[in-house]
Amino acid sequence: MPAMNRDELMLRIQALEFTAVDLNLFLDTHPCDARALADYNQVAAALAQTVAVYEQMYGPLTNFGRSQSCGRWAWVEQPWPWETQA
Amino acid sequence: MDYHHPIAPVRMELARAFVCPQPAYAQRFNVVEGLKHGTIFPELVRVYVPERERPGCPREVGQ
Amino acid sequence: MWVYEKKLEYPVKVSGPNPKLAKAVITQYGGPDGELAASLRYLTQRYSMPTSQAKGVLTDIGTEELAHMEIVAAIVYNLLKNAPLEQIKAAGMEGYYADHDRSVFFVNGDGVPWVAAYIQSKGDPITDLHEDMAAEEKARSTYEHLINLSDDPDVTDVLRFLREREVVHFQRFGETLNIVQDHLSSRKAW
Repeated sequence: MPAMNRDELMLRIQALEFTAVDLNLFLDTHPCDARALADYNQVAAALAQTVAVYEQMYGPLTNFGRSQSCGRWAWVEQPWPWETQA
Repeated sequence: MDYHHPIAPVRMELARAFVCPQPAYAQRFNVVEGLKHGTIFPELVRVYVPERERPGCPREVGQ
Repeated sequence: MWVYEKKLEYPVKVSGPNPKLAKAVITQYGGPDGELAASLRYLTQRYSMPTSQAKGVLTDIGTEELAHMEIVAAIVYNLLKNAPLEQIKAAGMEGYYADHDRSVFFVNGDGVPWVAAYIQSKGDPITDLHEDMAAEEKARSTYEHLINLSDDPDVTDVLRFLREREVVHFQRFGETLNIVQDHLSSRKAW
């Protein structure tokens, strides 16, 4: 994965996760579609990898036990997702 | 927009709605394009033309 | 159970304070065809669905609608943030400001508060899925009206994303209706 800054990583995560969401909804009504399932798993793997890179640098994206928080409780750090303007 | 569905319904009942199921998975946009479009499936994209961009749209008074 | 992910499903930015636009957009937060109504409707209907697949679709779309509710809140929050009182008054938002300052609340464009009568869970899966398809179309129409009203291209971009999601959700509910109808008629045919 090429080096990305925080915004680029976040956009990549949004794009990958959105693809997974749309595939998830397709699979909900087409549960036997093997090609869709294979693509979903591939996207899920790429998403997990990108999330791991992001979390390592910027802290956890999920809490309630879903990721580690090393050295400090980064969950309550700024910014929050709706704080997009200066 | 015409869409020729490869699987026609076997039997249509009265007083029953039917939505054409999306056929088997074939292709999708890349992840960045998909996010921009609001869907990863090209066949589900429905472009919206806002009022002001339609030819012959009602003009506001004074324009 | 729900776990919160600290990101928006789609990036939101606004060109600047715009209480006039916020007043219109807020209907997709607390209005009759908005994202709160959508999420609660699907998440409460799912309990009485007859097939596991239908429970899945309603759970998943209901969850995605919570994410959309957050996006609409982010738009309204950023359009009101730092908006001077003169702009708020010019937008006819004094009533809202008096009760809520620049916070985000569950009302429609005229300040009418959200009410459970906006949604239904009839318990009949055919009925409920038709309500869901109608809800998606109402939401789509509302986003189209908001796109027509928007004078902020950054906000329009997000509204277009949310509108397209309604088209996709309609398709999924339609497919679920087919599946549930087939399931119910196959159970009767013995």
